[in-house]
Amino acid sequence: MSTLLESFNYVRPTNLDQLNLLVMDYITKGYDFTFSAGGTDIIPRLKKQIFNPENLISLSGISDLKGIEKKGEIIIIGALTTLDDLANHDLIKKYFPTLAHAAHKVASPQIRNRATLGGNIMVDNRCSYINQSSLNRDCHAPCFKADGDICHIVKRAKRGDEVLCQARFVSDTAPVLLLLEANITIMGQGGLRKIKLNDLYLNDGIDNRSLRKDELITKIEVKIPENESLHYEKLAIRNALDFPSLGVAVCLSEQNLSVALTGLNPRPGLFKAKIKNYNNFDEMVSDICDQALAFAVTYNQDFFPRAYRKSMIPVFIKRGISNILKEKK
Amino acid sequence: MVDLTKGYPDKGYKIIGKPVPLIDSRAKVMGQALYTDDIRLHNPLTIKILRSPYPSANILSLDTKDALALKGVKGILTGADFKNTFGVLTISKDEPAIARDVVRYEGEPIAAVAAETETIAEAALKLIKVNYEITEAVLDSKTALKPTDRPLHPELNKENNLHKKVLQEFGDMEQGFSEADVVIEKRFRFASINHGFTEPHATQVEIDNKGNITVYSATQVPHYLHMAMAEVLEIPEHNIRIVKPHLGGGFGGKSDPFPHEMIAAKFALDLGRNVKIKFTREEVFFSHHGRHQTDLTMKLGFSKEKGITALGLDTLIDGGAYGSFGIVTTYYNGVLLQGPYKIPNFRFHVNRMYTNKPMCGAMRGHGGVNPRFASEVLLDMACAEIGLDPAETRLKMIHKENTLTTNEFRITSVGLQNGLKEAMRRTKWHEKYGKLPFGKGIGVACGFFISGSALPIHWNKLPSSTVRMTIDHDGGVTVYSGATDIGQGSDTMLAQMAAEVLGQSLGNIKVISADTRITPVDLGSYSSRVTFMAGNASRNAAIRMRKILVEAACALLDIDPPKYEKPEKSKDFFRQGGLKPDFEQGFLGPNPDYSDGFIFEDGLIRSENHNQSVTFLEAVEKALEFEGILQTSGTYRAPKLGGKFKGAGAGLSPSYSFTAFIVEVTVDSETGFIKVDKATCAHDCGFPLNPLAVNGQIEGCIHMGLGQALMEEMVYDNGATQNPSFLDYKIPSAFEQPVVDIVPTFSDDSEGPFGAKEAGEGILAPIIPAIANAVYDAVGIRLTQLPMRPDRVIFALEKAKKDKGATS
Ligand SMILES: Cc1cc2nc3c(=O)[nH]c(=O)nc-3n(C[C@H](O)[C@H](O)[C@H](O)COP(=O)(O)OP(=O)(O)OC[C@H]3O[C@@H](n4cnc5c(N)ncnc54)[C@H](O)[C@@H]3O)c2cc1C
Ligand code: SF4
Repeated sequence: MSTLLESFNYVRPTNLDQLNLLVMDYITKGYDFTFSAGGTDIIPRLKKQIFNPENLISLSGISDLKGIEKKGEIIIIGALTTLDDLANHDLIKKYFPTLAHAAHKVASPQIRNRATLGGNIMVDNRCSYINQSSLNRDCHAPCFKADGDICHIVKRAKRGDEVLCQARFVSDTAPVLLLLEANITIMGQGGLRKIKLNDLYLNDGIDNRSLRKDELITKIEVKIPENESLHYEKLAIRNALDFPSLGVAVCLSEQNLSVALTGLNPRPGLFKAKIKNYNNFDEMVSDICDQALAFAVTYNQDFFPRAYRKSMIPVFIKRGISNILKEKK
Repeated sequence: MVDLTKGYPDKGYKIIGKPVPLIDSRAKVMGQALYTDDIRLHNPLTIKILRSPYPSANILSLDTKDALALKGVKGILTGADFKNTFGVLTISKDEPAIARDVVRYEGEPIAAVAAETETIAEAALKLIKVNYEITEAVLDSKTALKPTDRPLHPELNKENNLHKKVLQEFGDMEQGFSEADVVIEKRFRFASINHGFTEPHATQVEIDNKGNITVYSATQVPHYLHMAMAEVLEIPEHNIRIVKPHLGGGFGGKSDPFPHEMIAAKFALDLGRNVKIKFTREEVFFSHHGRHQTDLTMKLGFSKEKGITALGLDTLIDGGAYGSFGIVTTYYNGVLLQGPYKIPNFRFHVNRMYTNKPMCGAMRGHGGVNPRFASEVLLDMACAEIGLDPAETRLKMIHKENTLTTNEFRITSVGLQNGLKEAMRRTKWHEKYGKLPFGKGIGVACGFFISGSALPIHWNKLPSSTVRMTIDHDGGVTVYSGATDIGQGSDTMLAQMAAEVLGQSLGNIKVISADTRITPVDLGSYSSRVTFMAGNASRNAAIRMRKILVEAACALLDIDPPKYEKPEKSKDFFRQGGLKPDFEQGFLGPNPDYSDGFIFEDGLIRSENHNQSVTFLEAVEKALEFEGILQTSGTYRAPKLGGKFKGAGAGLSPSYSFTAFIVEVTVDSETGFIKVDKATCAHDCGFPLNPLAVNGQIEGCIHMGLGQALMEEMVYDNGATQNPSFLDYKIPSAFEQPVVDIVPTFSDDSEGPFGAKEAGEGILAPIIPAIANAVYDAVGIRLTQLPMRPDRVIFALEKAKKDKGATS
């Protein structure tokens, strides 16, 4: 109902040293804080009062976190690089056209001008019972993700369950980055650490990232693939603006077939299969489709009903592979 | 550049029929046009509304003490502050400005705060303590039909939640069905949809030191708002002035008086301060007033020789919490099926229900869109079953000119036949229909709509529309009209009327519209009435002005003024217009023939017989010599129409528009996605006054129709609106818009101003069934539920496969 944000303290450090000092200061004082990059995910959530941090640390002033460069066979993408820059960058278009495509499929031009890659892989999980105003949440009674005591999707869920919340993972770029086996560099009070992107993600819709409070992503590193071809296909009712109801990235190499999924479970799916028979399409895809279907848990928390979203998984996988095969010819 | 006048007859007009950009488009594009919220009043208070989180509840107690005590809070209103309820229809004034004791939908106003800043107002909302007793909500129209001891509006109906029932029957249904070669019955379901206008509701109120208020509001109906406000606030209408600034879209969604308008005016009066309120998008969805959720079963009898032999429908529409335009919607669900084809035996039964959801009301194509979908799909099914070409069949059945429908609507001009033929030629219909590869399809559907409701909502003897016109001492012409430009371009249309009759450039015409202090009463922008009615009024005011100027010119030239003979009254019931103006009588009749032997052009007024001229300005100066001001009025009054039976007034219009669409689609049979590739439209709007504006309406209708066809839907869960944002409520993006081909289509309407009819609403309905029929042609399934979402396509395809498996 509100047009206004709740008040919070906004800080915008302009280099990494300032940022580190600030975070250290907040941690020692026990202050509550959250990072924002482009703000296109976080500001709508603040407006809807899904959470109200005391301090918002904007990363947007730190130029060290922006830009794309090539070091040998590795492309390094600053976490604060905008999706628009990413989608239009020569290096990305040349080496990772599918990543450029996935970035281009996010939201709208206005949003892509602000939205960052770091923000995109960190974008919060979504559910039609949480991404609402407080009025709507009150109407249903606040759910677990809104610090309440109920889940409207899985009615029998209770605190203490291993997975409490089924809010969906929705990043469009993550599936492609997962197939490219991207690594991310994380900066925290303990210094830098590097992990596989896949290790960033957890199973729960509320606590869904393996970052500590003080940690942030500084860069994303991707190795230039040798003989792999990728394809990304997104299920959304419109050709613009919509979050993926399902997103399927497919990667094909001489021996391997891999698939990454978004838009379904609280975490992205990632599967690999050895190709036994390159000439028999059905045989080639059946194992990976089975894996994907076994992983996917869908609920009615999106525009499309659950059964339909699930049934589109094999369709999209097959399409992806056919497309790659067609392009190879 | 494309010549938009190509294909239309050249009638020798200078301004009429020419593609002219809307006169306010430059200001809008430059960001200079002021919309309601852009107006800067002196030091206004900001109003915020506390809304109910529950769809159905009793308000046990309401404590505003803490909120009032907050510094900067100037006032709080609750239900107890308003005695009178209101509604746009005199016969259903059931809505309170603020809920009193009972909550009927999620989002209903519970209290309102006026404070020095928005921040304070919001903070105050949080301090209001409401103790609700949650009660069982009525969530769908089927449940609403059941007897209950707790109806939503016990003062109107003690038994259940039926708001309005209409049942009309014409001819002999049984006989009709027995004459049919095929009888098909099907159930159709339609989601409720929202108008999706760009500008959220907004109101500002300015108060003077005598307690008069000026209400700036984003409204389509200043006149109805004026009346409702006077009644709710219990002050005379002359203390209230309603002004409609630039408006960012209405589509029927701003054609009711609204609670926030009452609240704002009351605060201004109580506090003696200027106030403002603006909705969030979410609030727009809560207040809704969109298209009714509909469940209808339709039965069609069709004969190879005779065409439609009978059509019957049973319909349940979900009205939500209050009446709004619902009674009209209830009738329109039936009567708007009376065209474009003759239906000899016809029966409809519509129930409008009250439920605990945001109310539904008027929306573009009002009441006619959903039944049109059903009838056009059934017709397509009948053709498929008998093996007839659905386009040729339609072509044969379209109403003939100057006939009566079964329920006694007067059909005058009809120009659709040529348009449909041309659309068939352009799309290569015969080469494509039934012959495209699997996945590609082509479909046709037709529609029909009123050109303004002949009867006013509030019974009165005033003309349907009145326009005042003045000319300044320097020759500048000003048109004063209550007609509401809501972006559709009515100001431009009014100016075109004056410019054509007076031989002026469009730039020399100023339009002042929708200001109840200055402009004469016009009933507002709904039912596609403005061009026909206000257009005629403007034309007539200009014709009167022309007479004055011609007489002045004659005086200057020292020649005899033309004799204006009293014309004979038209005896032809079907052609009342185009007569010589009757200057003695109170009004000039529709679309009068104003030829007077003079030519107004290039700043001159020239007598054709004497080949002498004076300048326009000389004539103006001469005319001003006598009266000091140059002022005329023009009116339009709908003719007496219709039958004598109960409810005969619904759907009566002085003329009707006709539309045909041929749509080409690609259906992805694996994902169920429907892509509309091309829409070819033939719309008979009489003579198009401004092809640019007409084409804009056609393109807009296609886009809007696409939304209802493919994706738009209000989602409710236990009474809560689940998608109150433009992210979650899916309006198609520009990517989904198909290629559009507009076939020049016209007729000569004797009563429409310069022959024009409506072009704003009728176009919307047939695009939707045309898509469905094309989907059938593409993949062989009949979709009976809107929106035709991909998952429904897949479901239908799988069912078809199973059914086929079962039979083979
Ligand atoms: C209308 C609309 C449509 C959208 N459609 C899509 C869509 O189709 N697909 C899609 O994927 N997304 C979509 N989004 C979501 C969002 O715009 C994108 O995911 C975007 O990439 C988020 O980036 P950001 O920089 O704006 O993130 P922010 O809003 O700034 O941050 C998002 C989250 O990531 C955290 N974060 C940001 N940067 C870092 C970092 N460097 N290290 C650690 N944490 C970080 C923030 O704390 C926050 O929790 C849409 C949003 C809107 C409003
Ligand atoms: S899955 Fe359950 S807990 Fe999680 S956001 Fe949705 S309703 Fe809330």
